Amino acid sequence: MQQAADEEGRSILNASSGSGSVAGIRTVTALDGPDRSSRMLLVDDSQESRELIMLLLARQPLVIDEAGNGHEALELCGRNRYDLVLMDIQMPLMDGYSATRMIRASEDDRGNSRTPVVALTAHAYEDDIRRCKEAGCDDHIAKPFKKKALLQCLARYLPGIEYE
Amino acid sequence: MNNVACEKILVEIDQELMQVVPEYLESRRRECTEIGRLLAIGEMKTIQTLAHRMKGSGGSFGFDEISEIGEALERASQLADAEGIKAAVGRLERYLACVSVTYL
Repeated sequence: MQQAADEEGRSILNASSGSGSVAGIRTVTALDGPDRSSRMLLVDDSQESRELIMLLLARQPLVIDEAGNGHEALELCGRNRYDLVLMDIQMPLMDGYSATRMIRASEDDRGNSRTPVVALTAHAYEDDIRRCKEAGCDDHIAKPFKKKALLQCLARYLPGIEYE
Repeated sequence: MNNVACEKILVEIDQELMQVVPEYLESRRRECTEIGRLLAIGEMKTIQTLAHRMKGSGGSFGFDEISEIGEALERASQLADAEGIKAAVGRLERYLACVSVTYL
């Protein structure tokens, strides 16, 4: 399983296209033009979960980059500035807690402003939520989630997110 | 699993998910076989990982029962409860054989 997940992570990296492109960048949409789109990093080891989220957000003014584990997330956060990071917690190689801690440490080192990090977790107990907060997450979405819950949460941090 | 006798379980899903739902269900069918293999070699940790993902994903795709089965499977794998794992896989196989999706 670990191996499969590792291979999946590499396949994301290998999916980059164009010279100088970084891991897994895929533009979802930019309804109002690039200057009005928010840029989001989606971190989840499950490709099917990433595809689901990409579809659910396809009509939102977002440009979304993908990472398959915490290491990839850190690499992308080092190269790009994001308006929000949607971070799965249970992942191989580096979990969401560690990745979020390292993102916060990097922000402190560089003097960068704090990027909102929203945890995606199938652990929705109080203790798990507390751990997310302690790691530096701003919010959390319990899995399995419905589209409305996802959009409602993102709308708290990003402009132009619409939900009925 | 084609011989499972069942009444159809009707599930309505938004058509925006049409391109990912068939593959999601197919992956769960493959996992039924995979979990049986893993159980035979005592690979509980990997079963736990698969179960955890199942629990976290089913409802988001529109299949709340798959999340419930994933939760039961995760609990059984944490306890190394082979009978519990077999029961959860059997429930998943029956569900997958009977589920019928309508896109709205």
